[in-house]
Amino acid sequence: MRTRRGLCYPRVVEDKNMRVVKRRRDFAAEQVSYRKRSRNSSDIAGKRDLFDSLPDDLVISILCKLSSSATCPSDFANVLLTCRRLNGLGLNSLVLSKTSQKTFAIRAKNWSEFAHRFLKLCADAGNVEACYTLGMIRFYCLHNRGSGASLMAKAAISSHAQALYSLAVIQFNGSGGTKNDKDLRAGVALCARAAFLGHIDALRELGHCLQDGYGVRQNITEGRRFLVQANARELAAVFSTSANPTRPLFTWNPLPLPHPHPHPRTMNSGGGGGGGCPLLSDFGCNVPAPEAHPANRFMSEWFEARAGIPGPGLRLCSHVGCGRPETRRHEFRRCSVCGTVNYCSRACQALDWKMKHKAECTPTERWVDEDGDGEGNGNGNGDNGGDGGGEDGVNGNDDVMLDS
Amino acid sequence: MASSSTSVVVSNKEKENKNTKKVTLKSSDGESFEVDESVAMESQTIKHIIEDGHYSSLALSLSVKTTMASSSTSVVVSNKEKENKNTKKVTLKSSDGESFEVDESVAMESQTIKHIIEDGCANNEIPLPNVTSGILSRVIEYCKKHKEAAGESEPSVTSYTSNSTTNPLTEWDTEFVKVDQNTLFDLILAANYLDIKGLLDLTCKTVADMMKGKTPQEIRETFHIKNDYTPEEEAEVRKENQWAFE
Repeated sequence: MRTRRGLCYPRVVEDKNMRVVKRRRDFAAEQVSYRKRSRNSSDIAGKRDLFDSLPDDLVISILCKLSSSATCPSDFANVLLTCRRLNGLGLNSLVLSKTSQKTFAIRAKNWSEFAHRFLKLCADAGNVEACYTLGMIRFYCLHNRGSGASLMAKAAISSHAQALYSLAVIQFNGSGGTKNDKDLRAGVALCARAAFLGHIDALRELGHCLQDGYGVRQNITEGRRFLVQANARELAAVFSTSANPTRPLFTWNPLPLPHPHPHPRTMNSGGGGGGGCPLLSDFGCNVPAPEAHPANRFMSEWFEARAGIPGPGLRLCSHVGCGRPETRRHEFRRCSVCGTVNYCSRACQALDWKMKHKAECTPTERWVDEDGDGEGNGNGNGDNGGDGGGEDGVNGNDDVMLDS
Repeated sequence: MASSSTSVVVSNKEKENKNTKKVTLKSSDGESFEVDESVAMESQTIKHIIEDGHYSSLALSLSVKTTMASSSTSVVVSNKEKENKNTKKVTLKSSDGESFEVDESVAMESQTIKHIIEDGCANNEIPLPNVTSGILSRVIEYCKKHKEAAGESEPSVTSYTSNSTTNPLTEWDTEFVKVDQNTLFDLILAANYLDIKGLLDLTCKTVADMMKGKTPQEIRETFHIKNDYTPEEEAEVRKENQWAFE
């Protein structure tokens, strides 16, 4: 440990008559041994080793700033390779606790015990992003459900919006357990907390839950309000994060709504607030996709390397930005119109609809379900209007009917 | 009020020893108050009288009783005194003997100096044995600029203009840290010693930005860091951190 016992300051002749009385710091009390600064070893070609002149706590301050502004893992790791002192101080818990989200953007092909250990160190130091990222990786990729969920819970307690939403998805689907482990009310509660923190997917999910009375008492107007708010936030996010002024933020082609047939929900609920809410893309406003969180990107890459099959008979969420796998057969629900894609949540369905699926979704006749389960409902009457296709509970009767 | 209107005669009297002009204000019941001209100019009425140059002969009808006059004068005086107090100066002495006189409010940007002043130990100069004159002058420049900026803008305005790309203070900061490395590191040490959070954050961030995006060898060359790894250690550390590289 090196502290500032005056060695680091420029040497001048001290006037003994002048004594500065300082209230805050008492240098005399610091009885820490210090490394003798030997000019010879720290000079390279006569140049002063600049870091040598700084005490440890200032170097830690610099490294904190570095870790919190790093844009990729190598920005941070390069420093660890320079010398022993920077390596030691770089792994100080204060530095690790401030590490940015982008530092954890590990490529799945580079995954190793060392990467795992680094994430663990950061999570132990209290880094919320590390807790979330490691939690997701452990839960979905390493199949360690308990540890993964508890890490995500730790992040969620610190009001990490993505962690709250991920836990909500786990509750809605009963991931890691059986179908009976679904806890819809817990899912809605977690979703609500994430939504109030401004998480767009959670807002959408909550909006749909309210409209359907799924895990919460039905309130169509309130649900619609949330869906509208999700659209608004999506647009606002584009404006606030636009860094490149030359590239257009989004394209807007005012088109008539692509599916003019009446919305089934409006028929059922008889006027009132109406059913789902159109996405921005239905008005021709194509907002670019939000940047994927490092954890989601990791999972996408991880399962891509495993040929897109997370396990026997298991599928991935068809929204490529999500990357979540099923943890048991038929966990995810599929598009009721075409039945070829499935999603972990309605938020993913909405996102995928406007990115990709709207163009390719075509009603198909399904006589025989290849998994051998009965059809939840007939085909074709799923609304393929604004809220992005119907969702169909594959294990028919138990799930709430999202379309009728 | 039915009191007779009395003139308030404002007279101009020059003091021999000081250059401060004094004026005498006379209340309606005859009591005179002698105040500095600058203090009296707090009153716009008196200011116009003085500026118009008619003070020697102008009679002004004011029914201002002594008590009211004295209270208003004391208010005027105290306002001016407060203004004077704001321009109270302190002297900082660097390690190589050079003295710098700065406004007290500017010097109080440094928590260290603030505590010295509050403890009442700042009657003479404040010696700073760990800061050289070159660095001290830069630090004072920083404090002055930030004090001005804090004084000018409304709190609500700063929150909207805190966008780093448009804030003029940020531009000034960026120019401020364009110095050679030795100076930069000395600024870090000085900011730490003087406990100036803004300067410390700024300089640390600058160094951090210099380290970003470079390979380890480039970082070593930039900061003249000695590579004290043995070849085996280096290979091991490289292996441990291989996950971070593409």
